[in-house]
Amino acid sequence: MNVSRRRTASRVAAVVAALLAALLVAPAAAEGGVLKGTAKPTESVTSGSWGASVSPTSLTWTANSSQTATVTNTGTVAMVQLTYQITVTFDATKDTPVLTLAVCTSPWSGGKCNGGAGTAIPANGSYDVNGTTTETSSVVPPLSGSVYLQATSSGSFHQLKPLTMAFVPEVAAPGQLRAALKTNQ
Amino acid sequence: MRPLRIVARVASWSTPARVILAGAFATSIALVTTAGVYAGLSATATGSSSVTTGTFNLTLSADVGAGFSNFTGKMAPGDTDNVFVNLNNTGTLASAAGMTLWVAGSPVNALTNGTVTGEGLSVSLTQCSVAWTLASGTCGGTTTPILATTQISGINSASTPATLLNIPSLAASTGQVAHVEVSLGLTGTETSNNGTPPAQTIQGLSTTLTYTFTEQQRTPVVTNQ
Repeated sequence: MNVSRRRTASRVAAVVAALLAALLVAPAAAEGGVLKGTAKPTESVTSGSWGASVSPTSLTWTANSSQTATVTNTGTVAMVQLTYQITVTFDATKDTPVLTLAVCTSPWSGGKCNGGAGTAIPANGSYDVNGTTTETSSVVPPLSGSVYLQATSSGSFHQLKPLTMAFVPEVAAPGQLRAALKTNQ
Repeated sequence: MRPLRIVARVASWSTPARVILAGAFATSIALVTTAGVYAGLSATATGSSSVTTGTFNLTLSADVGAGFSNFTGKMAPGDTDNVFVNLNNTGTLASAAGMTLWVAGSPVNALTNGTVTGEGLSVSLTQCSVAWTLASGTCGGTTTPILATTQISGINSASTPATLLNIPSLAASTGQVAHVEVSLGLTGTETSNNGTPPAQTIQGLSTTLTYTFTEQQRTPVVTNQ
């Protein structure tokens, strides 16, 4: 009886060993049957960034006047257009203010942009209602540079609630960035 | 005197023992005889066959310009960087038609791993029947697309290679070369607010791409001679 069991066990072991050997040999034979040639060149690339920040982000009036803010290019890719989300708030039950906005490539001096009025945003437009509007300007800060906003309030308001104008500059790719470059090297 | 004692002892053994002894003696004689016959009949025939293995090498070199090199500027969405290279089989075995390509980025980031859906680097390949013209990036012969614009995030591992189209077999013996334009592009549709990019962004990232082109040898040949 013991001899019979030993024979059976030996047979099982032999079959298992044969199967394992077949499994190990088959892939090696398949891979080794065909030569492969490879080439591995490399190329480095860095992506640019785009954006603009404004300081201060909000202007406040308690009397009619002109105030300025500076818009700075924070990216590494030149832009050709800039969008401003402009939010105006005031007490509409009592006040009827009118705000105008203009941009200049140089700092405003005495309310003037290089002796002129700058570029209005929007052209020939003004802000006289509460809420947020979106305006686009082609006067943009150069790389590492700035442009300058000047907002001027007129009309009447009662100082019970300040008049504010807040800015969020936005730069969207690829539409507001420089033209795409094609490099052959 | 001693042999006589042995014979006397054998004579005194039982019958089964005598049978065993006789069988062993007969077997020994038979073995010795067989060995002698075998040694006498052995013969040897020898032949020779010479064989030389082929080599199989894929090389990549500049076609025109610098070939694979670094994009020195800051890449913006829509930009394209073209390099022109020759894929050549310099071995002695021809290749099979077809080739695969996968592109690894190091470090791995949003430019190559697809973390920002629809954005990142892409690559396309075009073959020219003659050498490319560097200045204009044009082909004076016939162009053949071999890889349509493909996001690298989809072919960024050895297990997900792109199968290049229309790659002919490269016969080493005739020095056949594939003139290939490799166009690297950047796709991006991001808006930065007040100087801050989105949380998941492709902006301001660097990576080194390793292109792995792989070809296989021609179909094995069975020769009967």
